Parts: sequence; structure tokens; C-alpha cells
Amino acid sequence: MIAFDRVSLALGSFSLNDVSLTIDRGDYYFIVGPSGAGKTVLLEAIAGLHRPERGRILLRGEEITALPPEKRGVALVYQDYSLFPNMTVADNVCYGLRVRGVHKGEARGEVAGLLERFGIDHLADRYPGTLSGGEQQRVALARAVAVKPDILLLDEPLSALDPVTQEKFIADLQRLHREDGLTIVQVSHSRREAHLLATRMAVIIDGTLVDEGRADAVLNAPGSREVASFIGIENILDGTVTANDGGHARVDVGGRTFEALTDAAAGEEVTLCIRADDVVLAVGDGRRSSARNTMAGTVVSVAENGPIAEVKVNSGVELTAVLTRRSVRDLSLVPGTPVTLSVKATAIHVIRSFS
Amino acid sequence: MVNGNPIIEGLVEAIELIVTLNPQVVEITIRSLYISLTATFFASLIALPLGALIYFYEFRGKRAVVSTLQTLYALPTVIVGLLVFLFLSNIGPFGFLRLLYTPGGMIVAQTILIIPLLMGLTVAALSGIDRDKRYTITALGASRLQTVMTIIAEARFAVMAGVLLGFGRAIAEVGTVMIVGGNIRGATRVLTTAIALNTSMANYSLSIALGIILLGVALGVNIALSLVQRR
Repeated sequence: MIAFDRVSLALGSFSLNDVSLTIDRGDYYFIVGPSGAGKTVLLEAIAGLHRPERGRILLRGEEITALPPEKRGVALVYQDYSLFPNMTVADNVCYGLRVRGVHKGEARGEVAGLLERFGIDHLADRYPGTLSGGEQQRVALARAVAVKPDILLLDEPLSALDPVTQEKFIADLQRLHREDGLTIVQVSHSRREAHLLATRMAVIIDGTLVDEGRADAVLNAPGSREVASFIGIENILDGTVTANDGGHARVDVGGRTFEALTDAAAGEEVTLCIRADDVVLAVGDGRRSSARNTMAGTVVSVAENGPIAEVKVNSGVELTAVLTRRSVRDLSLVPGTPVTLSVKATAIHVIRSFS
Repeated sequence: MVNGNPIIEGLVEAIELIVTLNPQVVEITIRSLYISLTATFFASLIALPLGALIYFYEFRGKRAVVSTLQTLYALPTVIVGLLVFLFLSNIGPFGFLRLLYTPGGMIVAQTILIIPLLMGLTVAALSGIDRDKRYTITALGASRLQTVMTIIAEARFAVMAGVLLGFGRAIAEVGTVMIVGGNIRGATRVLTTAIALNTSMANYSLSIALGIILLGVALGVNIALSLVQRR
């Protein structure tokens, strides 16, 4: 639907470098990356608010690089909502329709429908300053949806909301994507939001797109060490392949051998990515297991966080496991407890050094 | 005034002058308000669009222009008075307008005095509308003109606050109106020049009465400013 073809642009000291990506109709596309990476600039470039210095932007195959924002069929919602404080909620929602010349009567009907749909009809005559964060966010979303955009652009829409409101808003967004078939592009630095909402995603670091693809692929099989680190893979280990038997490789990590599935040849430097919830702990001798990587270790620390606990284990290399708090209590895990740690070879994602 | 404290007696007489609506006090007050309100109106007509133009258009030297405007906030009133005097006098290019020593000349002087302030405050008021809001307006489909109009509408209370400050500066200044108006009784005498003259003549009661009115106007502007800024 919309494609960036080697787009570069500079804004002051920041630059977006050679970005190529494709967003298809109906995608819920996430742009993730650390603060200052250029996520919002990329979103604004889709909206036409920054003109590329090099490269092309295509919409349905037609070049729109120089097309002004008002002709792109997009709507943008920033994390601070950017509502008009001197307009009522109804006037805010109506704004896009008004500037597009929609007849007053028709616009009024549209607005009434949207206010009801987003559950804010009782707030129609209120001013934004009197609303909660969640209510303001709904107004901003209703205002954006009112113009029936081809692409809805959201800049960290959940970051200013409390956890309970976040959950409700995630449900709203899921419904909007599912029921309206809307193409949504969302900037975020939350892996959890990406897990819940994204169908495709791009990772941008220092103005460069470092990974792009299906959301589950990027989240579970990152293409580089820096992406793995950014998306929050808890165990990232550098090692060297010592043997490979038809794709079943043995990798030496600081004297410990891990078995993993990869085509990397013996002698090749690789990075192993292991999710903490793929690390299983057992007390006593748990060595007879189908997991190809089973090793003895000692608990280094236990950090409880709500219903789960993060347990660090030293087994020659330090690995992090995530358990339920109940499991931690059942196994009586405290620093110093000897444990057996196991990871299935299939749970290890291998990043080859040239990828 | 002879027997007691001249300040206390002056104050009592001043209140009497105000309460009894002394014709001289009323005339000076009305003239002051007329001149400064008219000057603020004309200055707004010129400065607000120019301020908006500076804010909305990117050009080389934009920062220097804004800095110059800010410097001109503190432009000495006597300098403006002198320049306007020279331009409006018989030897100046606009002498033929015969505005020197007339309320019209005083309006011109005050207009020129507060234009930089109003322009600068307009730029500041519009700059108060954040970038995200501007982008949101554009992305919602507003044309350039609609974007400009929406931003001005959004900043209207800050712009109004700037206009009120401009009026406050105009009515409180003495240098330009003294030089350009000449402080002629019944013609160009305004609150500030009348206070200066009557104080030098030891006519404290009239000075204090006019001073109280000037303070009242300043207080009124301040209250209006607070109400506007609360929006």
C-alpha cells in the first residue's frame, strides 16, 4: 500500500538513512526503536510532514514523495493527543470533517456516531482540559478516524496512560483494526504492545532500519544482536560454532557448550538468543530430559515482580529464567540454591555474524 | 493642604475629584483612553499579521528579526518621541499632515512604540502552539490557510494577552506623548503628562487623582490579563 524506497532525510543533526519498507493494506505495522532513533520522524515522513532528500515514497504504486499531507489520506495521533483546548469534544472530533468541507448536517451525524462508538458521547460538550488521559486519547482517536483515513498513524498512543486504561485502549485499537480493516502504523518502544497488536514491524536504531518483517519473526528471531537487545531478549550469548552435524550445531560459549539449530559452520562466530521463559529450572538431578541443553548451576538472584519472578542462574555463563512466583516458592529458590537448568535446542535463535 | 500633611490632604482631595467626576479629570482620562486604545487598535492591525507572517514563514535571518523585536520592547519612549517629532515637524517628511501637537500625532507615536512589542508577543503566542498540534492539523487535511487560521484561533488568548500588555505600555508611557503632544491643556494633555506637570507645580491632589485613575487602568488591564491567561 505504502512503500519507502531508500528514503533519506535530514532534520538538523538527525538523519534518516536509506530506509526501505512496505506497509500493506490492513497491516498493523509497528515502528519500534530506542528514544531518539527516528521513529516519529519516520511516521511523520509517511504523513508527508518531512520531504525526503533522497529516495521515493509510493502509495498504491504511485509516487507521492512530494504530495502534501492533506492529500495523502492519513490521520495522525500524537502521544500528547494534541486536542484543541478551546474547542469542545464534539468540535474536536468534527475538525477534520470541517476542514475537508463536509456538509454541516452530515458532519454532525458522523460525529454523533463516532462519539457513541468510542463511548464519549456524554462528553460531547466538555472541553479537553476537563477530561482524563484515557478520555482525551479516545477523543483524539475519534477525531482521526472521523476523516476515514487510508492509514492511521499513532505515535506512542499508550505511553501516557495508566495500566488499566492502557488495557482498554489496546482493546479499542484491536477492534478498530479488526472491524474497520484499517491500516495502522504505530510508533512504540514497548515489546508487549508489539506482541499484542502488531502484524508486521520495523526496528529503527540511529535513523537506520535494522530489521523489518512479520512481527512474530522480528520478535522471536531478530536479525542482529542490537535488535535482540532492543526487543528485550534476556539472554544474548556470543559464541563460536565448534561442530555442525546437518544443522544441529554445538556452540562454545565461554567454555560451556550449547546445542542449537543453525547452518553456521564450525569456526563461525554466532550470537545465541534465549528468551527467559524458555529457560526451565529444576532442583535435584533433572539431567534426564529431552532438552538438549541441560547444565548444573547456582541461583544468583531472585527478583519478584507481581506474579512472576526473574531468576538469574550461574552455570558457567549467567542465564536468566522467568518463573511464576509460585514455582519459586515450590522449588525454594534463593540465592545459592543448586539447580539444573535446561533449554531446548529449538528455543535458541542463532544470529550468524554476517547476517 | 496648608495646615496638614500635603500627601494626606492631596489624597483626600484626589478622591473628592474622582468621586465628584471633576471635569478636568474626566476629560484627561477620556483623552488618555481614546489615544491609547486607538493606538493599540492600529498597532494590532499592523503587528498581528506581521507577527503571524514572521512565525509562519521560514526565511533567512528570522531569528535576528525576532531578537531585534525583543530588543525593541525596551525602546526608550523619548527616542520614539524624538523620531516621531522630527518626522511630523515642519522640517520632517510628514510635516504636511499637521499632526504634531495633536492627539493624532500622539496616536501615531504610541502605535509605533508598541508595534515591536505586539509583533514579538504575537510570534511568542503562536510559538506556544506546539509542533505536534501543527502537524496534527495538517495531517487531518487542513490546507495551509486553514492551518494558519486554526493556529491563530488556538493562540487567540495568548495574542489577546499581548494586546493588553501593549495597551498597558501605551497608556503608562510619558516620553512620546510629552514630546509629540506637547501636553497642551484641553488638547493633548493625558494622564501621564498631566501627572508630571501637576507634580512639578506642587498640585498634588490632581496628580494623585490622576495617578489613582492610571493605577486603576493598570489594575483593570492586569485583571483582564489574568482572566485571558486563565483560558
